[in-house]
Amino acid sequence: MNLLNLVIYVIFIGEDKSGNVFMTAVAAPNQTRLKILASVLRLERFTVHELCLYAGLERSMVYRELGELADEGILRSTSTRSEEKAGPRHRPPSLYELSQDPAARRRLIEELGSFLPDFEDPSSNRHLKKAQDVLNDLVVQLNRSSEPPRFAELDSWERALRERFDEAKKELQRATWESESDLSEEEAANHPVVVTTRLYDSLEGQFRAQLSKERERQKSEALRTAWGDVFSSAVQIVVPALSHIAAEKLEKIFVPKISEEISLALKQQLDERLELKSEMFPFLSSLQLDLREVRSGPQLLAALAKHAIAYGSSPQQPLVFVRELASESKDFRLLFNEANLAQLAHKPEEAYESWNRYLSGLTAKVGQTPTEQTIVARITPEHWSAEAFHEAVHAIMTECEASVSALSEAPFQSAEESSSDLYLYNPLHTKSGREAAVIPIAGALLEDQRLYVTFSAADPPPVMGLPLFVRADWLRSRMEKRKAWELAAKVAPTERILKVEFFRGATAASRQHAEKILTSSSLSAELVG
Amino acid sequence: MSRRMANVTFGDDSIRIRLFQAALRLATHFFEANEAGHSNGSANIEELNERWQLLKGDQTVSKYVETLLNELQPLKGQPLFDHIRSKLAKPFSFEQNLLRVNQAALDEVKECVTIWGGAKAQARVKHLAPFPIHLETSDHEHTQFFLQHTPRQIRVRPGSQKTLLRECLILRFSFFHEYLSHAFPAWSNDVEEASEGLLLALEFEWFESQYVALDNELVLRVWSRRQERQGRAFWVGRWLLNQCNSHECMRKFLLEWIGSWDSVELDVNLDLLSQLKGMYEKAGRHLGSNMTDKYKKTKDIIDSILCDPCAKAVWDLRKMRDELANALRPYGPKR
Repeated sequence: MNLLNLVIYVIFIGEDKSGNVFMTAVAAPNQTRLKILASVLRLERFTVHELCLYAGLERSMVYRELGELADEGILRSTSTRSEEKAGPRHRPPSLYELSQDPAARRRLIEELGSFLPDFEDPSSNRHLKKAQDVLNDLVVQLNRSSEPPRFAELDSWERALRERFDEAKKELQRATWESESDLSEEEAANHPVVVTTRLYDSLEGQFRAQLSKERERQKSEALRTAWGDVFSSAVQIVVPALSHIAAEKLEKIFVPKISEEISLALKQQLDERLELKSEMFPFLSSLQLDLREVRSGPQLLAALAKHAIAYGSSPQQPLVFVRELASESKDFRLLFNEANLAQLAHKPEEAYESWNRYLSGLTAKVGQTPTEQTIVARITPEHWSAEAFHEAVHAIMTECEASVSALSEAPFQSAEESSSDLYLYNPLHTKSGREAAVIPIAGALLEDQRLYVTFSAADPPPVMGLPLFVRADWLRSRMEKRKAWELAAKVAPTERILKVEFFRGATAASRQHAEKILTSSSLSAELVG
Repeated sequence: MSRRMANVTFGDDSIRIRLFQAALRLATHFFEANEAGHSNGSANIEELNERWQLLKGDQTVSKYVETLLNELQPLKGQPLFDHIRSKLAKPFSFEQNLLRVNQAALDEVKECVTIWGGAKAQARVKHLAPFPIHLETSDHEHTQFFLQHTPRQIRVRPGSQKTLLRECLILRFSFFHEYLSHAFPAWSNDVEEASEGLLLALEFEWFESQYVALDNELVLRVWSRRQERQGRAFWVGRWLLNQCNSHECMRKFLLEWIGSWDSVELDVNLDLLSQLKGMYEKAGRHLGSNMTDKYKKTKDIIDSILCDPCAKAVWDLRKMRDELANALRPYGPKR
């Protein structure tokens, strides 16, 4: 019997410390002990006066029972007057406290339960109910986050959920044994036990798939990290002074030689890691193919920068390569990479400077984007709810001629959200043109940063860079860039940032309506700018 | 190790507790009159109960007894009631008589387990000692009994006046149940399906084997409400005790199992409990049901699992659980 059931049975009227009258369940108005036990469980810490007030009993009626409960170790009694304070001349009131010992508490609940009418679930198949309860709990747990926990937490997550699945399985098995029906027959297809068995199978399958996907992901991430170490070491061995050599000064004649030496150094490194050698071949192949294509010093640096970003173990190395490249290149996107890598290297001022220069380059290239209509809003975690967000998005989409995006470092708990790798621009461009436009940032560089983004548009643009840069980019549509940068750095990871972008036909009224939807709903969004 | 002598304590002095004392006295004198050969069966019980119902108000025990003497006066000349009246006029120790019933119930549990149980159950029952009795008040319609180990006592909460005399007439069975279902089992937490279901079935079977139908009818009448609590498990128990060629087999199995409950993991025990209930559904024959091949096959397998070990009176609970799981597999959902 749990306390919840118990409270339903035990009702009586009392008065709380503020003098408010309340009613709790009463089963038997004359039972002194019953009232005392129920009150002790409810109050946990109390004076005799408080107990009497709560239970509606006279002082003389409670002393003996309290004494017995104290003798049994269920209650602990202390004086309410602290030693330092001068107390009244009379004896200070005793403060009773329910023992924290679960066994003592259980005894109290059992005794209370024994006073009450039959409390055992009379249904003949209580195992089914228990299995259903556990499975309902598992549904919530499995869908709580779009992804299972990472690394170290994964084992404990697996253990905890496996235990719950075992419990459900056990109860379901007992429910099956006890069932009055022959569940193997076709007519039993919709029998509650059979339906619950199907739910179990499906959930357990989902759990296994989720787990195996995450294990694979972790394995691949670990492999990438190991490769990052191998790559970084090899590059350091071959070109220790690379950072001091300007890319343009790397004579064409040296490029094939250095490429060859890097390949050799990598093979030597791999020979020292025999256990992972074959699994690292794809990474080696990728680098070899890139090195095969390089024809100049800048291209060699770009290839090394690309692999150091995608697989490196520290931001310093790619930062050196990218900075060197950016200083010599007209490609302003390299400044975006430089800004992000500087941020990862914990150099926020340098990061801001590079970002600033990147924005200047961007403006020079594409001109000012018409952002005055855009709404940017912040939602605190206390006000966030997936349901309210969905409602607001739906209303804005259908009534305001606009599209909505949202981002956060915490999951949205919505089906549409996506947490993907974080990307930078690919610095390598060769004649073959086989390179991807963007490259993922290695996990080892990110220090567990994540970005969750949700869009109402079907084909959203890729989100580039670290969460800080994405936030700053959104915020700068509503404020001056320095302020946007500073605010982006201050925003808590659990806050959600919303962006409403209006279509060509949207009017000032559309914007006002969207603002009203965001601010007056339970989301209580705070508009930026 | 010294044990505290069983005694009787009172939580309070409510009307119900005083009525309980009077009812026990009346029941005691009724049985004494029976012993003296004055009983006329159920008619006498009904007549006595009618007089009992005439007690009114908040009185002392002596006053209740005095009222009973007066109310039985019109039945003067009937030997049974004359005998009771003569006893009511004499001194009576409630505590001694309550403890006597308590001791008799425990002795009967020992006798039952010694005759029906196997080596493990017999070894366990030897160590059972009487529990002190604590009387307290609740406003529940029916008398409640709770055997608790800490502190060691049987808590008795007398029911309403209407039910009280009949409760006292079958007090021996109620205490018998407390000892066999709640003191004898080798578990640390009560498993109600076993204590209020399977074991209760065995307790009824014991009483049916020891007492006349009339007494058993009275027990059944008072206990029918309590049977409902684990009704299905009770009927599973009744069915189980009638399996195998010799009825002794399942009695022994049940007592050996419960008497060595903690010798295997709790999950094995709980699985077995569920499987026994499942067997009752699948291999128990229902009125109007067809003897399908599936039924016959299951029955044969189950008979073999349950009854084959009877000769040696040793049941391997884990093996039994696994075999029963296989036997019941054809009834599970197709996956």
